[in-house]
Amino acid sequence: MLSLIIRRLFAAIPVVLIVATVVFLLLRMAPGDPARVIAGDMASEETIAQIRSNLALDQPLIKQYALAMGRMLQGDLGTSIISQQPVSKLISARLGPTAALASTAMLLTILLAIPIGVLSAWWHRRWFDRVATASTILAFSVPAFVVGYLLILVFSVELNWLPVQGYTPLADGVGPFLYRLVLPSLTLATVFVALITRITRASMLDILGEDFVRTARAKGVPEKYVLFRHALRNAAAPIVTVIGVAITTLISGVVVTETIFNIPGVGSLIVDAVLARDYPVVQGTILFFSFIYVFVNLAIDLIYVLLDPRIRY
Amino acid sequence: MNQASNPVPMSAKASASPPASQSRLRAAVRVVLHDRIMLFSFLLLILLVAVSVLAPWIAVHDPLQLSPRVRLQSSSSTYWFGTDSLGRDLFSRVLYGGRLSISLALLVCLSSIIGGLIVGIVAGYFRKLDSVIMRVMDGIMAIPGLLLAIAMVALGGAQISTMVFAIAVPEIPRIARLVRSVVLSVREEPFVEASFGMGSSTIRVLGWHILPSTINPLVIQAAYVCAAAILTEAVLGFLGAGFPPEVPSLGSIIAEGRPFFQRAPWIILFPGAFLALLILAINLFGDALRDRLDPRLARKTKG
Repeated sequence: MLSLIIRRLFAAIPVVLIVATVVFLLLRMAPGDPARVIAGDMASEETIAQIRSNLALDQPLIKQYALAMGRMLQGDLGTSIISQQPVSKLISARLGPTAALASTAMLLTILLAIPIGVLSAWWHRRWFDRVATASTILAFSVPAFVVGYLLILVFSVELNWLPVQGYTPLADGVGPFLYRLVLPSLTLATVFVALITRITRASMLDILGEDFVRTARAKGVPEKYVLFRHALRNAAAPIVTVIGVAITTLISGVVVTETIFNIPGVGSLIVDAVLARDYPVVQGTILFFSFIYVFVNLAIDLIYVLLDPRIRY
Repeated sequence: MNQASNPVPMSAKASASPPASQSRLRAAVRVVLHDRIMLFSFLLLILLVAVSVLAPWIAVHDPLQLSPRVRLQSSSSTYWFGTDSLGRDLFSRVLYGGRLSISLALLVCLSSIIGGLIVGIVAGYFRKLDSVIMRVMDGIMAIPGLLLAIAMVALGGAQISTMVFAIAVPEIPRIARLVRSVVLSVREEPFVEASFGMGSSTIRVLGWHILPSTINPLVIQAAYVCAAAILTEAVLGFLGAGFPPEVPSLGSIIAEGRPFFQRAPWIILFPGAFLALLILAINLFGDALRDRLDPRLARKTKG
């Protein structure tokens, strides 16, 4: 297992480089002139030229690229124009709330989506399945910020059960921490629950038609073991894959959710940076999130091996 | 959903029906009329598109007209959806916002399909370029699309070209993968080989034999791209990275309603509902279309 982890880590290096290159190129290819946008409408040509040279935007593309890559390899994601602090430091200062939000939403998703998906497949085309399937389509279509405000309206404004906005760090106690995280995690989890329920159901339907399930039932294995031990274990690979691919959806959701609930995380860092036109912070945060995606998917490759002993790399 | 209620007679009818005399359009109309979900989503979509396109004639108030004396009013016979914090008519703003969303979605759809088609065909057909192109596509897929769009709009300014580019680029890899897989399977077919044997040029084989087989999967994908584009544009507007504030967009209307949410929740709820219905209609229509055009895939995901 250890050698596998090390080999996969090395395999991730070129992926990280490609991702960084793509981010660099796409941001340079986008129409418009960053220096002009950063400077604002009223700026003089000298100011624009000054910004351009500060950000090395006046250098040839290859040189800019080499500069950015060289810095990145040393773990330097750039320096904020506004606060003059390194982007990596800004990100790590705000990582806590984001990690808390993402992990509770993920936990919620797994606790809700997998049982619903399994039961939907088991009660295929019965009322439970219909209601669940219709709800997933609905949950797919309502944007996160609408879900968030509906939840606030019902649970905070009308019922007064939960706080409207804000974040309490774990250090202030588990109770207050979870209390403030309930609505944000529900908001973030909605799309995810829909997605994972759908894929769990589809994958389980495939597996429940297989011979070994019939054999298990025929030899008298109780149905809950058939479902959760025999079938779900074999249906797990596609579910885990979708979780991995959907990490980008989760990250986008984090940005929106943190904005709705005023959570001081990495997502609101990028939104603030966009509004302040703090270009290095925007670029650095995107790189950071893309690396998260690469490494989550690396971890998922390793989970495959644990889930299914037939897979060897 | 309700597909279960009529699958067998439907498909029997559909496969037996199209006689040579019947036009393709009439066949399509028949399909839409017989599939309840498709009919419902189609009508909903038509309704939402129609009110948006006809906004200048339906919405009697100017969406930009400030009337501070009637600010934050709830819905009434004059202001159907109420007014916002500057006294602007929300109904007009939502319709104009929908109009912007729909036109942007169509532009994004068109450009990402063209982009994905080109990339996918080149990757699927010219094997030497395949691995390089697909690695780049994997790279784009690793970047959260929304963040990429935010960054591009933040850097390039919010003109329509930047918005379309920013929302379309993250959609291209999925389309390219789809096209590539179709090209890879079709290029091994005997009729393609036969065409080459008869001396057809590469361009002719691509255009005449390979392109047509990508149409069905692309039509399905186009629906989902439209839904994603509408959502992304709204999110950009909501985060303040969209069009300038004077342009009514569904996302920015919602963002402007945030400070007044407890006093005037309708500023968020009406555009939110419009947005959700629009995306729901497109998603349902896309699902129904997929069940119709790609029965194999439908069985896989629907069971």
